[in-house]
Amino acid sequence: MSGSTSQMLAKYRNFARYLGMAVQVFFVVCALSGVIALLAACIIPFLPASAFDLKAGSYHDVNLTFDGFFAYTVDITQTEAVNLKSIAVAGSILCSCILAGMAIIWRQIRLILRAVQENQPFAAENAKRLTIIGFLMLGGSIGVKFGLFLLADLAVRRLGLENASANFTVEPAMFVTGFLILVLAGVFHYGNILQQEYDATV
Amino acid sequence: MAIIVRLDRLMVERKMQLNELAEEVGITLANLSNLKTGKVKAVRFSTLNAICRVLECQPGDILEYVPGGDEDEEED
Repeated sequence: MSGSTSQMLAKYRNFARYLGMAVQVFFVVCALSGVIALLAACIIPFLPASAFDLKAGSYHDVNLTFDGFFAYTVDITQTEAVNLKSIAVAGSILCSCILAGMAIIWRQIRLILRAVQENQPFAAENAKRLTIIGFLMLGGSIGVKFGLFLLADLAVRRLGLENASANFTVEPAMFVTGFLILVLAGVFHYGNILQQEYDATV
Repeated sequence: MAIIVRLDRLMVERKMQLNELAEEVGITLANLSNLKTGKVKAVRFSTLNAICRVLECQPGDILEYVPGGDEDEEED
């Protein structure tokens, strides 16, 4: 192998190492947050309902948003007291599921980068890891949106919002990305076959 | 595989050890061992060139075709 090729490979291995450190941080944050959300979902049902009461007169208005683009202002002074405990439990469960999926994805990315550091980017396991990520993204594009839809619907009914409704849609960007990653997994699988041929050549 | 590698015979004639040949040729001992035992799928011309240069031989001295060897591969 020529010197310039070795230098280029060393540069990419270093890049993979630094990326791996960042990914490891994201994985730990997601995993810990997911555990905290799951604990919250387990603990909240045992807390007093009064801690989750949204009393009339406590707030002038509350901004309600589920997608970050549009916010609905709820005039609390005109509504009766509402208990948000079920919303808190549902939100915690949804958060823990989303964070668990993200933690799995970050973990798979970390393992892929480790294989790159070990000069085995086209290892068979990397194709499997990309397949896992692809299916998680595909499932997440439907599942996450469905969970948010259920949460929004619960909030609308709990708060008694008359002119609001929840709609279910699929996250198109995540859906397309999931497909793209599955295609990439196929490319890596082919790359693995070529790598085996190369390794078996003296 | 119908192609047989007769490297061991040549090494005995030239009185050369495997590790010495690997160092002269510029490939790892493991790869050379795999080549000697016929476990490799392909050989680069550059590697064959180096082996012939070191052992002062022709490619035909190292590689031999034995008809019927492909039947064993098909059974596998």
